[in-house]
Amino acid sequence: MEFMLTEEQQLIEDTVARLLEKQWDPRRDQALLSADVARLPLWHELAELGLLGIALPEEHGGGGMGPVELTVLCRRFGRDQLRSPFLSSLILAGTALTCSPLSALRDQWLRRLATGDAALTLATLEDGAGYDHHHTAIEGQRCQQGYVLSGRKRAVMDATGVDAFIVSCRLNGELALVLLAPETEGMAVASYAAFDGSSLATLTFNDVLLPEEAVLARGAEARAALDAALAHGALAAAAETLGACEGALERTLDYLRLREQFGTKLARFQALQHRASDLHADLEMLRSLVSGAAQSLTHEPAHADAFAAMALAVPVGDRVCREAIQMHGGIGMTLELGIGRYLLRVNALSRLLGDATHNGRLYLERMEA
Amino acid sequence: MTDLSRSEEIRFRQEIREFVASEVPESIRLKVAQGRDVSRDETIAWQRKLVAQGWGAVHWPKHWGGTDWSLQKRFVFEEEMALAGAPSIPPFNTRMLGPILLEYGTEEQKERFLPGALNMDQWWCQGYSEPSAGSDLAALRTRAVREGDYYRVNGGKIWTSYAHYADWMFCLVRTDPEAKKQKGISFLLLDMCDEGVSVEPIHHFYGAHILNQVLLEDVKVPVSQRIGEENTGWTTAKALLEHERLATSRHAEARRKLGRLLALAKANQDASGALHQRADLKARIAEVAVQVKALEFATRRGLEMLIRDGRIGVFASSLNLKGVAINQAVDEAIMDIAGVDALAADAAYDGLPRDLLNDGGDARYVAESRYYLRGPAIAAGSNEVQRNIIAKHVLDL
Ligand SMILES: Cc1cc2nc3c(=O)[nH]c(=O)nc-3n(C[C@H](O)[C@H](O)[C@H](O)COP(=O)(O)OP(=O)(O)OC[C@H]3O[C@@H](n4cnc5c(N)ncnc54)[C@H](O)[C@@H]3O)c2cc1C
Repeated sequence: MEFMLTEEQQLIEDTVARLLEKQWDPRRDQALLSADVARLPLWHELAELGLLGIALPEEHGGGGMGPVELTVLCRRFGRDQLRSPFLSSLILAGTALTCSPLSALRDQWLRRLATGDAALTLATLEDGAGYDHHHTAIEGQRCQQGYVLSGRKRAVMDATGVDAFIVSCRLNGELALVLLAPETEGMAVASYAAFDGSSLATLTFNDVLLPEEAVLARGAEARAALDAALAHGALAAAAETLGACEGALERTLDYLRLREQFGTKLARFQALQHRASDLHADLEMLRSLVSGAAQSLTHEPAHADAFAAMALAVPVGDRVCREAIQMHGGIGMTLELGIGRYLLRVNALSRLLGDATHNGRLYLERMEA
Repeated sequence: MTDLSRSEEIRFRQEIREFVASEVPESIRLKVAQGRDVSRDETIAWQRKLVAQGWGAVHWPKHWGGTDWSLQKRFVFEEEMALAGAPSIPPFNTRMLGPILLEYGTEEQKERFLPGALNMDQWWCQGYSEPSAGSDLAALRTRAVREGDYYRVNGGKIWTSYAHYADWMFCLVRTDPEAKKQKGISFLLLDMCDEGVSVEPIHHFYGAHILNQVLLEDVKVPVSQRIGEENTGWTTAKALLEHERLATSRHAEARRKLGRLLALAKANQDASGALHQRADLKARIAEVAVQVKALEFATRRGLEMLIRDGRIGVFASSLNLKGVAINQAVDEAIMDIAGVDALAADAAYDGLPRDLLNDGGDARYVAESRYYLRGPAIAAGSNEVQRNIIAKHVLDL
């Protein structure tokens, strides 16, 4: 195994860090929803540098790299609090496409994704199904031109301005992934803001006509594509959580070194030193797991380790980001300082990709399989 | 002041529940149930209803509009009010300023300020903390210089809850810069409309506006608005009723929220069925419920100490520490049970039909409530300060 970044991976990290430093100010840009970020010059620059499509197949304009490079990016996005459609479009939808069986439809969208010319998002969660992205009660009814769909999807990420949805449903009794454009007749998109500033939507299908050629994958192939997408999603969310924790802890340590009460630096209080040390040790565990899981995924796109990473990231993320607020005192509660934004983001990620119990269960099931 | 008999207590609780049921408007009841902030006007209107009922400040003497209730009856009153979902009134008017005026104010000052504080004709805020004086409050630097009948006040306060609502502020200022920390401080009442007072909003990280910064520039405060002697403000500020220290456990709030947790777990489901049937969540809810029960009995134990000894002393620090932690644990469990439902920002709840948020068990605003509760772990004696008190004064370390 290789836990150190290669020179090339380090270069990617440095490039993104520099770009974000120059073009992304979480304080200034906090009014933007994640979906809007795709319209910023920053997004085009990421595309031009080949970073958006970094893990998409080379033959369709991607960078041909893999999960390790994805975690490098997501971790940096977490640290610098960039909320963007990277997770929804490039990771979740991008992996689902990449792992779908070859077709003209697939190839055409992959190319558009890689160039930053289009955004896609995955619509999988349904009412009453908790965090189970595999569960779908939407059953396509056969008709002459294909199928008719009715039902609802929830918590669809970055639906505003998206070019197409990859929707899970059941066709002829088996799982299928299908592609639908937002302007499709019978489809309604109701977008709303999430508490972390990302953009979510509820998708309603009312007798939507699904032509045969919009089907991306069915049966075992659909299952494999969705599995890979969710594993990559879990890994990316864990990496972003890790980055958020690193950013939060680093800023907290700086503050403890600076702030004085009772005539001494807060950093001198052993009660705080020990807590910071515990958080650091927690992060070393998470860092190791995220890095190891990224390598596992390189060999097997739906490897169970990704869910282990997210299962650990959820409680560690919550704890580190809560402690960051607490150790700042009153100023930790403020929007202006923005320490609380890390907590909002890690809490949102654990609601989108599933909590610790959910991911732990996926890990156990797959580990045993 | 004889204690309530069992049957009197039952009747009294019933009376309170009926009062809340008939007097709290539906819109406010919903806000309270959702753990949201009640507006300025709503708060004042509710306080005035309480005053009309004779319940505006039950721990004040009857002469000033209070009651002659026993400690136990007051406890029952506050507990039942919170359980019934009455909006909580910020503590500044009747719980903080009131007792201070009653103990240290002159007759004139009492006449002038108590009735308005009770009826909320004046909304009061608390100006203690400063940018460089937080946990170490005695390091405060806002300077008051005596000029004849006035003090000229310069400096500023921070983290002032509801200063943007306030008509008046009670504050601590430094009157003797030479004296040792606690010694040179005085307690002043300051009109927020005075020239030189300005209020800047500070937003919580999740958007709410409760906190403020108050800047004081050459504000002239009449000496008649000083409470107690000059340079004795520290003692004055500490005149918090022992009884109030029980309230920091927030046990009734925790119990009410536990009810919400159970309701959500019943209403929400995942692919395996209703959440309250899931073994892991049952264990989680049980853990929280056990803690809430312990908090309830701990608070009653505190009441017993208060009745027996007239004080709860350093036990208050354990109550505060665990009260905050257990309330946070209930909030976290609620947010976890709400799952995907908890994702929407507050504004989204206001703007979209509930139906489209797929919100089966009314999980609205649970995130806001959870993030709000980060505050009490920091304010008015942070967790760390409470731990220091326990280590030093209880454990003798
Ligand atoms: C929601 C909210 C409402 C508030 N409302 C008011 C109000 O209405 N009026 C008012 O006057 N003030 C108010 N405050 C201010 C509050 O009292 C202060 O925030 C508090 O005293 C802590 O001070 P600080 O913020 O300066 O943090 P600091 O004192 O700088 O503390 C930072 C961190 O260091 C820890 N720490 C400090 N000293 C020690 C030590 N010796 N050992 C170990 N750890 C230590 C603290 O616990 C904290 O975690 C409010 C605060 C909040 C969060």
